[in-house]
Amino acid sequence: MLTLQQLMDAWNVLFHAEISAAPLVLFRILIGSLLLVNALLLIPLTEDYFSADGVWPTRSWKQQLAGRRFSLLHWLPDSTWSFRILLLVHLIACLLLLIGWHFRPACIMVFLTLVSLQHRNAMILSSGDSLLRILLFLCCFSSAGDGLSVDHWLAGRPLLEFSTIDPWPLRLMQIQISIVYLRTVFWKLRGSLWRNGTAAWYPLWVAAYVRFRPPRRLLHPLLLRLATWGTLAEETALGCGLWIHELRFPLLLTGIALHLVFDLILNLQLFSWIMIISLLLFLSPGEATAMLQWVCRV
Amino acid sequence: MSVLTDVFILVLLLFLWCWDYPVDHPPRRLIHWLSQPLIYLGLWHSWAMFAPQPIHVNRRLRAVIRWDDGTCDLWTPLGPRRSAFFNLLYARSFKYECSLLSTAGTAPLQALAEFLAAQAADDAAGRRVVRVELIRESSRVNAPGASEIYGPPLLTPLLLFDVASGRHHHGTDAGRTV
Repeated sequence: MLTLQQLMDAWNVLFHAEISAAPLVLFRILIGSLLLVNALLLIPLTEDYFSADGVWPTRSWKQQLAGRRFSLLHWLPDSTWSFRILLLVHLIACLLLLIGWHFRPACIMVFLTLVSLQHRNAMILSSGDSLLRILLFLCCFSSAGDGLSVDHWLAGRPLLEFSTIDPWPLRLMQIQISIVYLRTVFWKLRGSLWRNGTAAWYPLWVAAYVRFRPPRRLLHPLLLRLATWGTLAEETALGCGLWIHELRFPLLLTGIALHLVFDLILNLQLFSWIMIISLLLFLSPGEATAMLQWVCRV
Repeated sequence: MSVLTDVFILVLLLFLWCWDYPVDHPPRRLIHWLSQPLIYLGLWHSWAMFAPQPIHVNRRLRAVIRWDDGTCDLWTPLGPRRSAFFNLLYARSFKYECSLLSTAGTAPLQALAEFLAAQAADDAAGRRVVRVELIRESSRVNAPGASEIYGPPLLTPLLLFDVASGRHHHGTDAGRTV
């Protein structure tokens, strides 16, 4: 039986025992780069999906969602230029986040502009976009600018020196990743096709999603079951096992492999890369530091 | 300050854990009071990815644009092509079509019909758009081992937009006139 004191001690160890900022710094650089790509991919879609007279005109959108979903566009004129300017501000904020210049205001600005852009047309969003928003929200409270950043350099500190930080935002991000895996298994187990082991078959024949379809001879019922149940097993293991020291590294490798396979087979735009970057939040400070040092050397 | 931080962490933990339960489940009802502000802030989410069932229906949108001279044009949204770069670039377009044909309400369909009517009018060359009909073409993916990959295609009228009156007819109402 735990005492209240032991419970509070465990809470403090998990959320407040100081660690190096290196995993968060690595996350900032990777997610900053990914956000830049994500924003650039919106440019060719502007006229059709975000303009004043596109498939979801600003007027209709405002009538439907005014006051119910935050977007800076609510306070800007109905013109397509409002969207273009917001996208430009978002791109600049992403760049500032990436290089770590005025980290916290930049991160808040990235979050606000990302939410504004995504709320403008929610019909083109996926779960990866939701995860991006939540992780960025948590990142606003973190010290991800405390290393390898312009802020750090301007303060006269060595670039590869990482501050020690109160890790609660990092822990919440990690908990969020675990919840993503556990909850997706929870939902999948409610579906008969996942339970009978054929779920992996269907998306391969849906034109909007398939990128590469393995040859028919590889789509043997036994292999389909292995792929379906293997996905469920891996996602369950990722949801729980990443918190266990001995399992963490092998699970990180298999988790990354799983998402690379998803990306090879399915056209999910940046989803797999968002998940891979999120998994890297589970790297230890030593591993994250080594990775950043290696990147700097290269 | 540290107590405030801990309360904040607790509220966030409660939200992260409870949000993605089905809306009638007790954990989700527990955080009902948080729903509106969190949706407003963009923290809404769903982790039901390819679940409870994986996507198992091929859906395409067809729009029939009828002109006053009795002719008609068929319009389809951008679809996947051979180029991996093209498909990456327009993955969100494919997602839009999927959302429009599965979960979106009536307003986005009306907006699309009006958009298509306006676009067609720009290239009218003396003709006038009479109406725009939106139709869903769908075919189920059969179970592995079936003789055919796809089931028979199904055409479902979604909306009819009468340009002159500016009126929209949905579902079966649209079906009668398609």
